[in-house]
Amino acid sequence: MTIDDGRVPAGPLASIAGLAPLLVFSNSLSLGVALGIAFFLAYSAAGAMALLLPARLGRPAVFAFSLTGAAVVASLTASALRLFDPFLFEAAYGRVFLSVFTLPVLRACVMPETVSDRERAIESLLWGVGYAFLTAVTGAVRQFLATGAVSTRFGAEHGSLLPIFAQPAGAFILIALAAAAFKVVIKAVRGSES
Amino acid sequence: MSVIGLVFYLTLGGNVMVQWGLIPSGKRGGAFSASTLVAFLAAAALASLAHGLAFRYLLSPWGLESLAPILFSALLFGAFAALKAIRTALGKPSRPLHDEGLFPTTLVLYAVALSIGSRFSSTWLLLVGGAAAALGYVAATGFLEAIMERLELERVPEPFRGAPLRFLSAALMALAFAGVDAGFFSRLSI
Repeated sequence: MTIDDGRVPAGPLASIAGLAPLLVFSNSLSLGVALGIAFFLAYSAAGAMALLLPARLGRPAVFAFSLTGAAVVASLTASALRLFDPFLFEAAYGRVFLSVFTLPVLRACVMPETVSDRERAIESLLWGVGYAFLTAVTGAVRQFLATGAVSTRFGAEHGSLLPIFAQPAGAFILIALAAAAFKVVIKAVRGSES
Repeated sequence: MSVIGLVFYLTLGGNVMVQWGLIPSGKRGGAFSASTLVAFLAAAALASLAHGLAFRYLLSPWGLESLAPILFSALLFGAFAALKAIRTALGKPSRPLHDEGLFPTTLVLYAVALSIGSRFSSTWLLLVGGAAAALGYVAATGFLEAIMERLELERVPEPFRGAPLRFLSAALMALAFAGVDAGFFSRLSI
């Protein structure tokens, strides 16, 4: 994951780094699911608008409309979350709002340049599902590691196993281990292909 | 908390880089020029002020807190259009809003605005808090890049090179900052 002249390259590891603001906060299953759904809805809205808006508007206008669309969807998601569980809303509203400005969503707001990019919409959607799933799974794993149990109810966590995993440091450690494992798997797959 | 205490808190215990997971993706962190640093601090201060005041006096009284991301998008577009107009008038080129190089900055500005805007109500504290949080972010990215440069000289196992090592280093920084927070700032009365 390198960066040249301030340009962040797209790719699974770079996207996981872009998701870090959500992964760091996702320390329980309920929070992970809420953030995963919020992210997926914003990501899908941004991607759909960038794909469906007419190209004659120009890239800056399409980006602005797509980002506004993603922000509207995040607002609706936050409102629904507030009705569903006010305590969960109070805990998570900042990150739900921030999901609009995470790197995968901002990248999805950019109008596809080529026809082949446009034809990869389903692939992008699947990546969105994957990122949302990753956010929820991260929450469940961190909750289990921190408390020794997984609860679907927000605020019902009791017990203590490895409390560091409820902290941001625990999220970074988990992401680092997952990224290292991912690199090993990719290397093994490429090795077996050659 | 005094202004100096606030600056120290937002640089260490409440650092937005570790608290909000805003890990820089590469070697740009810590390499700010003086003018870029001043512009970044000013942008963070103004973003915190605008977001904080709008959230408190425009959205909250009407129960419209959920509209905060739309409001920030509008503020972002307005600020960008103003900046572009100024640069055009000065005959300088400006980067388009959809330039990927601007995405991390946008994310950091919104995280700072959310973090500070929900914490303070006075105009002065919003401005100082925003600038201090941005300064803390710049300092933390500088520390992280220094750690990464030092680790390039070490024999690190291949799977941990790159992104995993960056996250592990960030984890150690987060632990250190949490220790400072627990040992010092949590005992201060605000």
